[in-house]
Amino acid sequence: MNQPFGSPGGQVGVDDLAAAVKRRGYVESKESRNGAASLRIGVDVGGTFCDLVILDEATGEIRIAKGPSTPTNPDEGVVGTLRDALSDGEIERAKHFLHGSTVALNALIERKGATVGLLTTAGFRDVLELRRGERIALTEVRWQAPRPLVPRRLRLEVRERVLANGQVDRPLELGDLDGALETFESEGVTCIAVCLLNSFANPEHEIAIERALRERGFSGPVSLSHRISGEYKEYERTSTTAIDAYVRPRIAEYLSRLEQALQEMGFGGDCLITTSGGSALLFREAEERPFETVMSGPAAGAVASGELCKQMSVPLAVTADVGGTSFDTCLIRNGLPEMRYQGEIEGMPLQAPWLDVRSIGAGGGSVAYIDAGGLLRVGPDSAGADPGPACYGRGGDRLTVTDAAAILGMLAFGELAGGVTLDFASAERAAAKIAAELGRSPQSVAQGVLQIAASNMSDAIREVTLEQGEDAREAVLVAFGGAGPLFATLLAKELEMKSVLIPRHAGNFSALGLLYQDLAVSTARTLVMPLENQDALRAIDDLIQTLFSELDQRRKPSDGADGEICHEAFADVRYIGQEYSLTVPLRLGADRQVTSVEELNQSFLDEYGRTFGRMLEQPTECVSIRVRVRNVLPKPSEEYRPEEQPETQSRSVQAFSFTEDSVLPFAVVDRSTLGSGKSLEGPAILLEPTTTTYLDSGYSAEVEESGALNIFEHRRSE
Amino acid sequence: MPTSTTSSVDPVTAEVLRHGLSSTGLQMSIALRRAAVSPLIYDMLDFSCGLLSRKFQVLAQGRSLPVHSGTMGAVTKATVEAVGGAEVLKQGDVLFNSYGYDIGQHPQDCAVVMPVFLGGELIGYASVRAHQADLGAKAPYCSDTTDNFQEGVIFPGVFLQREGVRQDDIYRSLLANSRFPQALAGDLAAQVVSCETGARGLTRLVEKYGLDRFEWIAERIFDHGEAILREALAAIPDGRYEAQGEIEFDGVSPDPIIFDVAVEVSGSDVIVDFSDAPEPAVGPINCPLLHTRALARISILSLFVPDTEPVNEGQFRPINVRTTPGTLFHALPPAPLYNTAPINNAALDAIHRALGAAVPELVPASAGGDFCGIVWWGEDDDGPWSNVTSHATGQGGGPTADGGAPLVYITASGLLTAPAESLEQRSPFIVRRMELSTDSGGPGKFRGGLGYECEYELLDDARFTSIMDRTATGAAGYGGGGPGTPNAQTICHPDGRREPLQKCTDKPIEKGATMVVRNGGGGGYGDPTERDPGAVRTDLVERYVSEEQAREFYPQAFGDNDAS
Repeated sequence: MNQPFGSPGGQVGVDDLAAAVKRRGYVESKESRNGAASLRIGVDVGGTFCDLVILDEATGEIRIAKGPSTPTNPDEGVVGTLRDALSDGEIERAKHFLHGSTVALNALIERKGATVGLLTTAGFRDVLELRRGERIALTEVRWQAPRPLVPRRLRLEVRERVLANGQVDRPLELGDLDGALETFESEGVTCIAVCLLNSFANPEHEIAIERALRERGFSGPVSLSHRISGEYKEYERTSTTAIDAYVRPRIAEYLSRLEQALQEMGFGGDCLITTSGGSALLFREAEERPFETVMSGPAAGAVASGELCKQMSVPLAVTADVGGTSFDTCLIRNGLPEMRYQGEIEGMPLQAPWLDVRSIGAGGGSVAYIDAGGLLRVGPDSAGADPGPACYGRGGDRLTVTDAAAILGMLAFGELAGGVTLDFASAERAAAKIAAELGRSPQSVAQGVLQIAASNMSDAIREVTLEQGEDAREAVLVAFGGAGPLFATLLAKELEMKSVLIPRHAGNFSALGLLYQDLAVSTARTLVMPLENQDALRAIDDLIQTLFSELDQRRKPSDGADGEICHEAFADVRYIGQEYSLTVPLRLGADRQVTSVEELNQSFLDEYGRTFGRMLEQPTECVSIRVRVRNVLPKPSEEYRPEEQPETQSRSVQAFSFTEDSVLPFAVVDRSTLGSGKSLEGPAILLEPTTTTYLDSGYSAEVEESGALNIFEHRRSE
Repeated sequence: MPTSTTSSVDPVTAEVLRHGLSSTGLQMSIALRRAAVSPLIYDMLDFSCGLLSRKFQVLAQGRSLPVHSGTMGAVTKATVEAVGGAEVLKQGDVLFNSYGYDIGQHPQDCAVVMPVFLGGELIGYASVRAHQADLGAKAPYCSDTTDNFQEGVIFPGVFLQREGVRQDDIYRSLLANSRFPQALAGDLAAQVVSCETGARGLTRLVEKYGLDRFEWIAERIFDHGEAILREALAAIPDGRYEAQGEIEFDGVSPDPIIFDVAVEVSGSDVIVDFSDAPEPAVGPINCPLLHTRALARISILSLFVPDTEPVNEGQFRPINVRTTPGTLFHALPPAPLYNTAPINNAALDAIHRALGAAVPELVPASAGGDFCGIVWWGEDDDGPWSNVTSHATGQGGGPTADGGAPLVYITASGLLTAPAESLEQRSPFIVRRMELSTDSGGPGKFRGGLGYECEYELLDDARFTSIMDRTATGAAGYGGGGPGTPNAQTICHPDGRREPLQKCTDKPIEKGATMVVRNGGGGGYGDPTERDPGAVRTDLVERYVSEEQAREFYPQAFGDNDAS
């Protein structure tokens, strides 16, 4: 079965796949049924598929499977996929269920969330609509900002005022809540968000409002901004708080339904959902902090890549996660994916830990066309799951990246699940239309489509590395996703990278990332203070202790069980006068105490020098403090055992080589037959169930101990 | 379709290079923002980065201040010519220019130009204009200069670095002329870092193709940019479309300045005709020719080319200007040009209104017209402080939709408004209010977007410069739509006195006073009586419009047949 571009989608393809899973033993390793060792289960839900990964904690064995996803009631797809893949009683052995979900994201994209009422400081009801005046399409006069999540009639004011230093300038007039609640009730408000000015410096008024709402009989969820974000900048914090309230009921309902279904199947362990920051939260915590789960999708792939880099001691890497519609990339330093603390979704800012995964519209389904100026363009439009690329034979007639690859022979024989093969003729027809218009051959158009897609991806990688002061040429590329391994050598060539890693299970690598996550709870608070003396040390330390004890309250004693517990603190530091800060770790001594401000200052200077190549002669200040309590889960360490297969006749296919600029015979190899230490010289095409690796002439691949392919350029003369 | 013989260039190679160039431009702006120390650069995009060919054609630009964006070719050319032309340049040279008539605006928007060499051969230039916090004008920000010598120190195209060696005489002279030498040093370094980033990218791309082939493909890319714009422009019926613009106060002379502008369209060629412009203003709103050209470019591009199309030389080809030397839009030294922001906005607005008659389906009614910018400074216990408050403005109603939320005026989009919580951390301010102004949007079939009000209370004595305009007439409506409300700034003194303001420079404001800034609404589009009654009712419920105004302009929502 060959399913390289993520999502062919639609019932037919999905059924074929599911059938193939059963018929052909898609399950990669043999099960070790005996023994009571526990399992860890990861399920990542996308638009078309549920990707399932099962880890046997005793043997380290990993199984993967796919099932159809069910967008209307996503829990049904999850349960269905589990039922198909697990044998009877097996789920009872599972201790952890880790979940990646787009429920919160979809609620925002489709604007199908709760009716939220927002309470603000008098004079500031319009913060959510005023934004910061930004025109995202910089030079388009007709561009408009997205509609606020809470309409103006439901943004109501409370008289009060806290100053930047926490001092109360005007006491809270709780009486204002009576009218507000009346309006909320008559408008069908189910969730209330509260964001008062400077509440990060003094949350008393927000807390008093929550209490008063309860006293007045409001029983729905209340999101208080200082608990949600705790950071300054009222628009960004209000936006985060509103998003939290907006997605809350949908997430809560979904998670509790799923947890119940799992329990009915016999599951008795912990249910965890992944966050935008690439760690896991218990379902019941996620119900309290749903905004943290909004961008869980691309995070897990970055986490898995980070873990791979740690295992292989790769200091600097960039990911290339290519799916059906998008290319996602993330910088990884010393095994840690780059983290940001503010993201943006649908034009709305969100203050939360956020793995810095950037996305552009270049994937297997990206459509090629000729623009008004006569140039060939690729993406960001995608043929999507339906009809999909022309070669899926489901009525698509526009040329996509997948079609171009098929035409060039890069997908070898184009064998799909259950004996279905790619429809090469349709791909050729789609290319012929464009070729005729350009007066070129379909073959050369197909080459162009791949080159353009690869150069768009490379440019994105250059931008991501440059932003952190790194040089892409020094980095290792980690390529995965349905179409990532297809682009591996193209990107390596374009970016002059020395090496590319294709992990095992590359097509399901994101789901695999779920199993690498730690349980973590985190919080942050703004504290602007010059980093100069013992006062700063004391203030920072006091705040850290406060934040840790808040987290301790949030974590229940039974949480997460047996792993090592790490208490971690970070500070956002900047030069006084600058706006942007860098987040640097704070070293904690015994009793989680901060030991030295000088050391913090020094780590900031080091980080600044590294990022910008120079330092300034200016005093520094702390901006925000972030703490995290991480419960380390054991990492899967799967031993790689290639399948022992009888020597089959070696096959080859005529395919286009970009390095040689001609069509050559490519050896076609089943990846699972390659033992560790084995090496293979291109030109070759490596097949595996969920993706295809294109190894161009001039490149070699070596199988690492982990089963990952390490691809590098070999000397021509050798 | 391509207009010249470059159609033989492979459309794939051209697309790959086009993307590579635009990514290099973007990388230049990333490098600049990451390295800059002033908020005007890292937070407000008050800069532009360009990659130029040997012939000073724009190969690519980074995300830049829109009104700067059409100047980089001319700025680079003037700077190179000032030092003696391309022949005298060597690898490792860095040029600096702060002469307003070379760079288009005040000296603070100074240019750093780096010639790029490959194998000893000049292959192009990387250039950055960025707003420096201070280059020694009569005040940290000015609205009342009367010649260009009051506007900052002039370095008329000089070597800042020669073959890799910094020219210390020049460098120290520069820093010595700044009130904020540390910021200047940091931001200058950032400009150089950005140029280096651009130079590396350009070198990589030229190496890949060879210079001759690179320049040939670049021509194809220009043709592409040109074709995209021409296709859009061809939709405008041929003709001459006229409009009038107004600056109510140039900062010095009390008389309003009225100017005529016309847009002549013939096929897909556009001439923006400023030749009837009045004589130069006494105050600093005058536009040198290269700035006027940039204004014409952004005015046209903002209507016809989506933001996703990277800007290059080709897009400038169909847009020409006609001017008369020695006038407001073709100013000559020593006419002052410190504060062109108001005229940028007024000119763009007039050009759009002129085109509104030609392509009403594309042109929204006028926006509130200004950012009501105030630059503040003072000294408190922690030392000197300064900040900038600029504002979004109500957007005009469009042919198919209401004006939406306030946005920063398009000539300066990229600039962000300051959060109250950030201002209060940095400066002795309490922000009392930031609130949409009910009824501020012009009535129309599609209503103008609302403006809003801010109140800043001062906790300490301070000084400020204000560059606000458009306090008398609001944003124009279109096709029967009404005007938005005008802008206003008023100081409410602690003793109860209310002092309305105009543009002013280095003005004191005392502790306890409150500055009230009213940012105007957008104009309405189309006859208000054609507005959907349901939309009127929604406006009432959201309090975008009061019942009083609704009854006056939208009687259809209150008809007898109407239940509400």
